[in-house]
Amino acid sequence: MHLLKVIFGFSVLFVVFSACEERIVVDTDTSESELVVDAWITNERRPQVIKLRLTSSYFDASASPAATGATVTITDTFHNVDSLRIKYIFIEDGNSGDYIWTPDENSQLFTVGRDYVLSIDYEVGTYTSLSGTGRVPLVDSIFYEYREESLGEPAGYYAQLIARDPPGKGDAYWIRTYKNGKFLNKPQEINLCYDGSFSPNGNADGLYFISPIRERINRFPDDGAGAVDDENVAPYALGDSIFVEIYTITDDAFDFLNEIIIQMDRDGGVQELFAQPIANVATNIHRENEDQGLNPVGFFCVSTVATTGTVIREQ
Amino acid sequence: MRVKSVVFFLGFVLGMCLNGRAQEKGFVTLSGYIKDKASGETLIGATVYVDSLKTGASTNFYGFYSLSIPKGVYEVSFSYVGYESVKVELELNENKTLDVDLPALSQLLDEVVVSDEEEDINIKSVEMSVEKLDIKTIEKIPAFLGEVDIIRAIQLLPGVSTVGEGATGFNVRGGGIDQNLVLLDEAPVYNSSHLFGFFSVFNPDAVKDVKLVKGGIPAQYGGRLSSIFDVRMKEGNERKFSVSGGVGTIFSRLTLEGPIVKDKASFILAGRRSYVDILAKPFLSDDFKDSKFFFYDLTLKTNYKLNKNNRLFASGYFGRDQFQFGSETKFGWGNSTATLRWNHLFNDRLFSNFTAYYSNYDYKLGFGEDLDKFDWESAIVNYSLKSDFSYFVNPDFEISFGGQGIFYDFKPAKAVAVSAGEVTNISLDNKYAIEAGFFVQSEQKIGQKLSLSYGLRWSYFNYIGSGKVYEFNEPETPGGRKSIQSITQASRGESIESYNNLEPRLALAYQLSSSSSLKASFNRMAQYIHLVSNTAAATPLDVWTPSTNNIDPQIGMQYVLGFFKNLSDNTYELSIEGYYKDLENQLDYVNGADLLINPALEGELLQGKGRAYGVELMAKKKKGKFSGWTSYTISRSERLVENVNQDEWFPTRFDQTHNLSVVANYDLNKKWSFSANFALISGTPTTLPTDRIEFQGYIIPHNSNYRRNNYRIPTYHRLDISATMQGKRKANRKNQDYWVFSIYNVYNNKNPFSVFFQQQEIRPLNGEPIDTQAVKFSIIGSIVPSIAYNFKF
Repeated sequence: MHLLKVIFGFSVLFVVFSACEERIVVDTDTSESELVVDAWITNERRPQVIKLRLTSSYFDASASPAATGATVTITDTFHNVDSLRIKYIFIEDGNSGDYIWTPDENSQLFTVGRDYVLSIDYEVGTYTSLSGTGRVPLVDSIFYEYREESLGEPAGYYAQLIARDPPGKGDAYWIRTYKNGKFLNKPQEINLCYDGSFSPNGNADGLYFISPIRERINRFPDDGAGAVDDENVAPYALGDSIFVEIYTITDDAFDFLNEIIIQMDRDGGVQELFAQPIANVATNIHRENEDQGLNPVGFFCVSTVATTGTVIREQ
Repeated sequence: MRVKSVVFFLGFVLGMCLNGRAQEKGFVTLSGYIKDKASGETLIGATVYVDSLKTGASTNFYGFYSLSIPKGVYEVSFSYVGYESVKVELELNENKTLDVDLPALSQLLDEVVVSDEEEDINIKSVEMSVEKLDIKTIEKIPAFLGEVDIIRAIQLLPGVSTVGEGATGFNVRGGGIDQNLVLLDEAPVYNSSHLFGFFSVFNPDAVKDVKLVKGGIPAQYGGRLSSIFDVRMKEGNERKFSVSGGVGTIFSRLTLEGPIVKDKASFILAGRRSYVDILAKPFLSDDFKDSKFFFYDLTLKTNYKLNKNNRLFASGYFGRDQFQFGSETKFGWGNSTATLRWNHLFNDRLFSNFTAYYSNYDYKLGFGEDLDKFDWESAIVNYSLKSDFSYFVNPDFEISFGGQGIFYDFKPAKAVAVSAGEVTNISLDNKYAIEAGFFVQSEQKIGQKLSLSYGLRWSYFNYIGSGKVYEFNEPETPGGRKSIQSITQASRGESIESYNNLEPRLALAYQLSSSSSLKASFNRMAQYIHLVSNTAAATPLDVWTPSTNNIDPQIGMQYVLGFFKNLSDNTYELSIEGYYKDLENQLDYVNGADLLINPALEGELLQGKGRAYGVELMAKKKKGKFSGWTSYTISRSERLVENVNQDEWFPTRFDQTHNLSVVANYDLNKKWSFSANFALISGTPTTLPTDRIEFQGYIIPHNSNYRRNNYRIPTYHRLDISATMQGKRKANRKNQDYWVFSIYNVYNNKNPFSVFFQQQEIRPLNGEPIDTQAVKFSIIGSIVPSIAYNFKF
């Protein structure tokens, strides 16, 4: 079969046609700055920070400008009478644009089931937002095991988060993982869960978190020039610590985080064929008067937090 | 009752026509089939011409012609592109049936046969905005990896575009990929791609004829807004048994065809399979041993001539793509279609065809094993009955009429999730619908210069139970997701929502001279089913959905004006066409739309307006050693959706301002021929972030102008070449074989598919600035040579 040999030879050489990526420079035509509100508050007894920034050019790697001199408060709407309502006043740390409320031993913390109103006065604009607070899931443990090399994944330790959604629909979570005290901060590592599964649509409820969510506490490997912690390295090694926070989030926050994943998590490659469109993410910050101040972007959410952690040891 | 009045109207029109000149005395009818002499394969669009009367006819999809002329003695010529003409002297005193065999122009003939009158059919015919490619032309175009592909070939025609290399489907005159009615022997094909979009599902060895109707769409067709892509399969050689096939880089092909009963019944069986997996097997490590990746298709057709007036056809297609990684992850999809047809001649002038078809597109996706797994199946299935009648009243007047009914079964999800051993059924209800259409269409010549084609289609769609009926609240934020207000249960067969539309069609041609004409057309189209897809290219996972109480049918109107001119005795054909389209109820999606396995899917959809306009230029050389075409299109395709893009028009993802194609073929001698094609296409638009939002340590891309598709990716251009070498002919043997050597992307241009934005791929350090970048992505970033071997005996 001389003929077949010739053709197969060609095929092996050329069938692997290479997709390729190339960094390019594009001109961006930016317009007026917008006010960025980064207000993710928890029920923990530690300093709570709200960051106010201005949007800046996408390709400018330096820190965005701070929005300083604002008045920032959160009001607990539990009482109908305004004078009885708890007000949390956030004080700016110098001119950093970081506004901080530090609880003491007696402070009333943010509480499950209550609604909170964020108010910001910045320059001529007034901005508000509303967030509820949800219940935490039943966190069991972190399970880890040593796996042999399989399907291109290297041998080493892999972890899973064992947790269960409480019965009753409408529970959304943001699972935040820390490896050796460092937050896993890549877009691909944003781990969301709704009623134990991926989406509020459908019949899932009261599930053990499904397998892909359990497994997403394993870090996403580095890629490209200078990558060391790459796909040839297992996510965990003996002695590594894993710490997981489960934030309960509102439905709007779940949508918001899903949208930012779509916008940020671009793997490239053939997946670009099936990439969802770029679109500005939603915000729940409202400007009181459309004619005054900057257009707001960003998000306000009050989360209650459940945590668990472990250290990888020889079994 | 609107139904009744339409039926009455159709009957009335029909009656009028039958009372026309048809009854004139002294006329006789010449009718029959025109076929390929070697194979007995009927020829579509072959012409019959009576020189002394300056009149003629052409064959329909089944190779049948009918011509009514006064009694007399005539020289009648029969001809078809790529075939020798046959002239017959006939004395016509009564109706006559004459089947004619045309011999194919042999490659061995250096001299080109003298042209005949009907080569100017493109000037005389009222048909416009129609692209016909015969398979011989398609085979000459240099192909990606040497695999002849009809969908890639039509992308070289004016008015046809695509989101990019490797994308599924094609876009016609600014319409979405779901707006093309892709027909394989009359059965619709819902996903025309293998391997996501790199290859089409049609096996070129089994294809006889390809026709793309972009405008002036006759009333026979309905159900899609943008185009009709009509693929007709070969019937199979009815004179002798033959085997043909080939070995290419991706597929191996084998086709068997032959007579079952000589000149009465024949069959064709054609199969293809990819073999990348077989080649790769030795290189895979053990844990990948269970992996599969292959695609295949099988085409079968048979026909039986009962007698002079009755012929039966049965055809089927089955194709599948199968991917499996390890033993846990499985993904497969495919189409299957089956068509039964009965051609019946009531008399020499009334031709009829009855069709029943079944079409199915389905996919299956599965992850995991045992305690933790996910399995999902989805499908669209339809069954249809259809009838078409053509009445050849006289050479100047032909009328066709008919009707069709379709039953749809949409199966969006049969899905099960298992987590830690607990099983959750997340299946969605099936959706059902009925679509019906009735049409009447006539073609008429008024004098020697004016030809008219006019028709009317009445279409009806009913979204029926059983199923859940959703009502939605107004969205909380403008343009946002709509939440469910109520759910009610509809019983089996209960009408949930119905729509109907009158779809007038009109085309006219005015002959300015013997070699030039002016044509115009108008059509209104309605489309009741929609492909729900918001990714750059459609994916095999996208789900078709019916129009419902929440989704309105899409409506399209198109106006076209064209000028056609032939030069040098019809050696060159030139045309220019301008079109304008108005589209209603085009689908769009809320941000972050959740489109898969979502019972509240309708709440994620938006509908808006569309418009598309452009000018298409085409110059074609049809005869001689050197042949080919150049086409250029300048166009715009836009959408307007409330609360998107600041409520202003924005270009679609597949909008291409300029599109230039050059296709050339040169037959050097009996042994060698060479082909080349070149494409130069404006970059398609995409959305570009201008600003960054720093949020929780993340860099969120943000467009401070709130614009969609505000940036164009760089221009695309590519040259492909190929050489075909005929194998040695051995005396006394009829074996034929040939080699095709081709190079795709000759000068190795890294053409962009998209430009996307991402942050650094190395983990950002807390508090350190995060680097962001724009990345140009090319699907094919290299030169791709290939070699293929084909044989026939």
